[in-house]
Amino acid sequence: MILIWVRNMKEVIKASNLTKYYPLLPKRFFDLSTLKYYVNSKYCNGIVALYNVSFSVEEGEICCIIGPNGAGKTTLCKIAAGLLEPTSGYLKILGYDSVKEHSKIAKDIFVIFADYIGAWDLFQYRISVYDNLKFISKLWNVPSDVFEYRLNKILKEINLGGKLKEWYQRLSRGHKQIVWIIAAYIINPKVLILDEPTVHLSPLMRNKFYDIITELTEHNKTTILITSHNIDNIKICDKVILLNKRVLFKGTIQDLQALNRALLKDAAEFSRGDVIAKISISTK
Amino acid sequence: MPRFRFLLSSRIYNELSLIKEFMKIGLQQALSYRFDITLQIIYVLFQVAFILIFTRVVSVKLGKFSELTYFEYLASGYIFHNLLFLPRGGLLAFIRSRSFPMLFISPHRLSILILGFNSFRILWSLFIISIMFTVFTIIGGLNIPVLSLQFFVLMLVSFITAIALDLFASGFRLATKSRHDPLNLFIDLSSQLLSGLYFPVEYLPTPLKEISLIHPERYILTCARMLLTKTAFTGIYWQVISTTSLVSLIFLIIGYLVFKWGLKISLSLGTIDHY
Repeated sequence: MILIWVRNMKEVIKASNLTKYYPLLPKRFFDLSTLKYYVNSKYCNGIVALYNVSFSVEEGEICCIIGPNGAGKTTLCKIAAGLLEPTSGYLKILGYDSVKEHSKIAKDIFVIFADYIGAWDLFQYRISVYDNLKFISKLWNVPSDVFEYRLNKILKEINLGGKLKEWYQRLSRGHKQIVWIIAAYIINPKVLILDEPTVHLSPLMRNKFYDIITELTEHNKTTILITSHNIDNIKICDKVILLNKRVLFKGTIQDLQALNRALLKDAAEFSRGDVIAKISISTK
Repeated sequence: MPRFRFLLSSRIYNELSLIKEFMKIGLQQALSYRFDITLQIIYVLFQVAFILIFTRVVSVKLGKFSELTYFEYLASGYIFHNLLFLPRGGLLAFIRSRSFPMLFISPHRLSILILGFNSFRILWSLFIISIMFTVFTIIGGLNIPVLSLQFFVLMLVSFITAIALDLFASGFRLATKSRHDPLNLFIDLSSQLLSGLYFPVEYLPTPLKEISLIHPERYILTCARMLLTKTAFTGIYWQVISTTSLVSLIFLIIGYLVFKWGLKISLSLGTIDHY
């Protein structure tokens, strides 16, 4: 039975020796050393964002990547989204390279960069939320009847309080984030990549968010990759990865707790402490 | 459009309906800036009035276009100058927009996204040009043979040039994040002086005349003026337009290569979403 189950597990996301260097900033006007990047984009002598990161996520799994600020979480999401080329290694989604073969998987992926909401955004400011959602669903080829059905279904769970006909510009930051999550629910992709998805959400909305995520994986077998520095998010995850430029730990939440029983005595301490720093030291 | 759905493949149908959605969004957004739209129309009408009055009070030596009036010379140049410049910046606007990173990773071809993003803008530009054209035709008596192959080819070449320059600007912008690029800066700065918009280039001092040879607008405006003379329907016109097409094609190849280079650099540097 176990063998059959293992064979049925489908690897949806697979990162292998993923490394990314960012170039150094020019120090002065005639800083010719930085020009090397324009000639050879694989030039490795800059700021390391990711180093030899390898992991995999199976179909229908929720994988949470936890790490401090500057750990390379957003870099990883950008590579997965097809917005950034790794210096070496690869990240494959549904068997295709996430950057080089992005066009083959674009219809199956949806990405939310919560920290970038406002800076770059698919939603248009002076258009109603409803029209924006309709436009985005069209962009991901969602039929109109499916759009209406899924929108009505999600609105029963999340009360937007009449914000649907409002201009997107007039929404609070938290509401903007909720609207993004609604978009993800309507599109219903095979792979959902969420960068800091709960950063502006109230505790109540955070719980609603967890419900939506769980529903997506249980009913639609959506594979979800969440990156966060909020350790609370791991409670809905099947797999946890601790990242700080390199992978410090990967396994289930139970593995993490078992491994660091001494450090993680109870849930309160778990959510409070600077766990990642401690684990980082303990695994060196 | 659903009526004709059976004629189209599902991919083309999806792309067309996406462009329609883009247009709807563009219209809604434009209507939310009603004051700006009104001002733009007023601005165009003022410019048209200026040309109508200005060309009646000055006399200019027109060289090889001496059979034209100065109004015909300037109005035809002005229409094609706008035809070349109004659609320009569409691709650059797409690259610089907040939506670009997310649209870039959406499941549609980049060309369709660019077309969709600029669909309303293109229609609006054509509307503005048609206002100019109508006023110049009705009040000024301008007679451009719009229903001719010559006019159609010239329109096509103008659009290709505009796209080429835009590709270059966007590629340069993607790679360097610079607000200006050398090619478009040169063309914009020298447009009034070297393109022959206000006066024939043959009256320029020799060094400037030589530089004007690389200005693509010069060739387009020459063809536009030829349309108003009998030469448009002779072999000379096709000789000039083939030179114009060659210049546009060279610009298009350079623009495409620069765009590809810019995209590659921004993907490797992680600056695709940087302002």
